Amino acid sequence: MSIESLIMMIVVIGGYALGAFLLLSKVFNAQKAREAKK
Amino acid sequence: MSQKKEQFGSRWGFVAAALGMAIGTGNIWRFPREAAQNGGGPFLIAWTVAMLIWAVPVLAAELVMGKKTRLGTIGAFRDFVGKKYTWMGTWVGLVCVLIMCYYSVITGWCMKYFSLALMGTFKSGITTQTTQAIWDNFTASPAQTILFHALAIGIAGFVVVKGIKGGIEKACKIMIPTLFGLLVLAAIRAITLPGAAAGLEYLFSPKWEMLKTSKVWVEAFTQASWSTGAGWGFMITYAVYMKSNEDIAGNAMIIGVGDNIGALMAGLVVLPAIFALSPSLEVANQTALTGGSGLTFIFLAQLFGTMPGGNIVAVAFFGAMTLAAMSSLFPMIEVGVLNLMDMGLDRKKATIATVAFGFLAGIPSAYSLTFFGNQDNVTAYGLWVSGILIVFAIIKYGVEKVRNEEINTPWTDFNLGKWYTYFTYLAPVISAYLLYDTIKAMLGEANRWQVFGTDWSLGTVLFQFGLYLAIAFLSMNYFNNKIGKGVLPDLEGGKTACQ
Repeated sequence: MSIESLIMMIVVIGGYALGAFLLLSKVFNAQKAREAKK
Repeated sequence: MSQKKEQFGSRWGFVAAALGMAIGTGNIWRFPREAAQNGGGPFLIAWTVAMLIWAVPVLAAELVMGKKTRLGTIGAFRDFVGKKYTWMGTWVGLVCVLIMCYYSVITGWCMKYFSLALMGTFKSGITTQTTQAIWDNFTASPAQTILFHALAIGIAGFVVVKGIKGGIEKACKIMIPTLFGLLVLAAIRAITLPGAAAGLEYLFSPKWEMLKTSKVWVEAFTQASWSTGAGWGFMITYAVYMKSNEDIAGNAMIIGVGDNIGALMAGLVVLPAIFALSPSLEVANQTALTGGSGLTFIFLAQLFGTMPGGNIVAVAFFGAMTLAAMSSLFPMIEVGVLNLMDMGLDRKKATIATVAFGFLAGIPSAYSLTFFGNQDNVTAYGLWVSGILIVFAIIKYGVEKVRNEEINTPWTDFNLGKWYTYFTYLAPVISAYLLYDTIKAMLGEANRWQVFGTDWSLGTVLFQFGLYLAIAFLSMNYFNNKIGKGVLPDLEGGKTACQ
């Protein structure tokens, strides 16, 4: 496997994993904040 | 007369059902082929962009329409844009229900292969000739294909008749984590095979020059539209059962990202397995480019037999396929059920009517692969029209009004910026270009005006689109009068929805 492909794989898989983590964190934090307001 | 509406029990329940809708067989047998044909890395980038700028705005548009009107596709168009446009909702609903008819056949194929894997059919030493013969014998036996089609739509109907919380939500909360678990299991085994790196190279190769070609972008947007379910009307349907203070922007993002992750995981199973297990690189290339049912039921089925523990992976893979297909079949049935419930039928009668129609109208697809291919193609293009109609509804209502009043609410997880408005205006242009690109390709074919006995021609598409339009227009007055007002979910007092 070439180094360029390896980097691409890390960027894509890492990007999706990080994106999903940030998205879910944002959703849970927003939900927590709303519940705290109630 | 509308019924009082049920409600998803939790946000996770809604997200599981929506992911079940989005992640289907297209993620597993279409995505790896498209990625392979379009340069790997560049396709992944274009496909991610397509998800963000096309699929997410369209999914959000659908969620707004369903949540605002609390009606199925037909009533949603009537109350969201006006009685003159009810035909658009009929088009959207009709295309979904027609997809249900042949998608149940696909689900039946997956169930058949799952049962074969459980019986240990894909054992060591199995050849491509054998798997080809298994596929040919199966598809040439209407008794079997119709039986599995009946089983698939029967099981899905059994879940749908139990309702949203007790049926679809309950099933998807088990099926979606299981699906991801099976994909992870199969991916780990595939990636750790000797020679799997060649498959990863294929999937992630950075051929940047391909990003400049329009083909990569057309295929990426096509994959995004067929895979996420954006513009199909499913989210209009599921949004009817959302809580009033449920977020739209965050849910649209979760559906888009979750669907892409599902496809990426399928790519990590299929391509490494093909390259690790094929006898030569040429064979691996040819297999990867096959895609569809041939890839899954002939080549992969054979390849599983060549690896240690292959039958376990085959069980995991065909199990994942069955779960993905089944969880996508639920909303297809629910689109028909909700529209009938809006006309006064109770859930039981509406489900029986929809399932009976799906079974009968699906028999020709179970019987003939040419008819199946015809329906697969024609309805897929119908979906692009559906996407244009849904975005038209949002534009007619006012994109800024939708953004400010329906999405950026006090209970939203994200406030969407002006970009949402720009991309919403861009969405129908993209759908229209995809349609134009397909029509152009069809015009180049010798059989372009053939209507019957073909799986792909402009004549058959135009003929069937004409039929859809005739049904949609002729039924418009009837539906305008028959469909009641949208009603908020039971837990919110069952009041009439804001119009």
